[in-house]
Amino acid sequence: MSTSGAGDSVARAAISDAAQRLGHDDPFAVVDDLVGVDVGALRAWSGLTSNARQSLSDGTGRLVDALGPMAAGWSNPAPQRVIHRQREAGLAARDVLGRQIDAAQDVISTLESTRLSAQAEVTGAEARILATGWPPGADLLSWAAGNGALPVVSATIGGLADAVIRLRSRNDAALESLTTTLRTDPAEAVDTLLADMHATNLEVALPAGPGLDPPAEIDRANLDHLAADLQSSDLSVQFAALGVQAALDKARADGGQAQLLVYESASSTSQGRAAISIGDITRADNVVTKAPGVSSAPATMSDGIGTAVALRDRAEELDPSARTAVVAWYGYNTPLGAVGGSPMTPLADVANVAAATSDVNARVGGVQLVEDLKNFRALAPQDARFVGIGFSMGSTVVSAAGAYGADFDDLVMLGSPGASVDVGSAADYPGTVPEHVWVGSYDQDPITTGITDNLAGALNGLRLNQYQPTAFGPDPADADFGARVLDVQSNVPDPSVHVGGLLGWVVNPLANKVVDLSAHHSEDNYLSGASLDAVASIVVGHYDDVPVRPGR
Amino acid sequence: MTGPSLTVDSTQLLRAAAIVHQASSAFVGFRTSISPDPSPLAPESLGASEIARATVTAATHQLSRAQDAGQGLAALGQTVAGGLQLAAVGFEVLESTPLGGPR
Repeated sequence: MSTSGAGDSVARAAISDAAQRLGHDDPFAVVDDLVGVDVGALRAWSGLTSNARQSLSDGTGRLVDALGPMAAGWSNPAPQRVIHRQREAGLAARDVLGRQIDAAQDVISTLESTRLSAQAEVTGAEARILATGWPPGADLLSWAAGNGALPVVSATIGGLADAVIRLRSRNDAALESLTTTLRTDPAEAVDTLLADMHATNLEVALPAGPGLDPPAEIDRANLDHLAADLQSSDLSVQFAALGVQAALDKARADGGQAQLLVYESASSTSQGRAAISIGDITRADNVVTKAPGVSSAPATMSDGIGTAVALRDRAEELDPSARTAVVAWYGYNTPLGAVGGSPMTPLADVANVAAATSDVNARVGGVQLVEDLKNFRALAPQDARFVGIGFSMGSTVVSAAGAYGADFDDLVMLGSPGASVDVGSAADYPGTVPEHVWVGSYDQDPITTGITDNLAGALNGLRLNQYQPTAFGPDPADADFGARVLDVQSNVPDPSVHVGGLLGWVVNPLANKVVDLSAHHSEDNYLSGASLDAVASIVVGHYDDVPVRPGR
Repeated sequence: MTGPSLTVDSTQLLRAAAIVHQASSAFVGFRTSISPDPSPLAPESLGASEIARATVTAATHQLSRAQDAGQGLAALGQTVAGGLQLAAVGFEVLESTPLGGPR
């Protein structure tokens, strides 16, 4: 506190002494504490916290700008979801800091006001004492008693003591309020987000149906493995894991219940492996294993969840008394789908193209599928029906698996480039009779009509595929193969393009092949409309409802 | 590039990655060093009372946590940006292959 002169300083000592003799605390001890508060330090703290808040505000604002290009750049929702959650966590932290800064500003005002008030109380008390005529240096209380000034002196000292106590209480209340506000951790939302990136608490606990026990947590180990990979410093591992997590989220949101039955990390040489069951495999009457085609990978497997959900839903509509689980199985190394695995290099790229023109990956995948099916059967009820469904190269995988002992009750090949070189006809599946081998093949789908064999031949000429004269084995839609061919039509209009000019006669056939490929050869097209109905009828064993036609 | 229902535009992905990277810089206040600022509050800056000391302790801790929040978000952003760049380059290579379309 400041003093204005020697008389004030003497008065201060006299007041301090008199106050204690009158039974009060020394008011100047309290005043010194109130006036000595370093408001500047709290203001500096507020400034640093404001800087941190501004950084959070700037960062979250910039993230908004990323959402548009990201949505336009990739239909996979996983990265967008991460950005969205990152922004929400940043905003939550920003808001917490905002409240703490506001509370600190209130305290700064209170502390400054209190300091001024304390100084004013002291100045006023000293002035009143000096106004009594008290001679500085005399004992204040003795002088007051002998000169009739004791009431004024006592009231002044008592008033000062009470005033500074009130001011201290006001400061304490303000500090208490700030401390309460400071109990909220500004980083809590960020910590939660980072933990969710790898922790299993992303798993949504779904309510069990009426009268049902909660499903057994059969996938805990895989979920833990996935959670760890979400925090991996290896971007290939983490990115594939993000894709699988996005697929799980989608499966839970759209399918109600999802189980991560297979999960293996990506690496520099592998896309990783994953399989998600839509529906509880432990209670399923029908278990479908669905293998995707080329250009798929665990990193993008959420794209295959939609068809799995559609098939499960349609199957349960056709037979409400039976439970169906559809396993989206991304368990083989699909050529041209290496997003989560090895970074693509020109050399790896050539190898991928070559791999896409042979069934080597599919046959290796068939072996892996047989192994995975052993685990699936161990999880499923003993009398569950098992159906293998593959699209495009995935059909080659399930066909190869059938040849290697998968023992499917029904085997369905959709948009198939071939049944693999290890299969000659529908009679070559040891555990599946030809009557339960089904083929969906749109006439407009160029993949099913020899384009892959032609491409393999071209690559043979380049010595890129010389070990395999036929790319994917026999066409299962061929009448000689002996499978039952679904009598269904493509769900999309047949597009046609015409290119004019002198070379139009050369360009037009190729252009139309490309357009047909894009329009008709997709898993969505084979698992929607009449084709979906036919496949779902097979899944639930309603064979009489499956339309069939003679093979090619 | 398109798959069963996959749409990718590598240019847009790279643009998104650049923006996310900028956001990461913003989260740490565009500082080249991510060393946290020390708190200016000393134990008795706000007085000698118990509540004053408790307030200083809480304020010091939460300033550190505020900086933790920014650094955590920056690190996550850098990871995401790197992943997007990796994906963009990967898809770009795939797009340039003769069999870039769906099968």
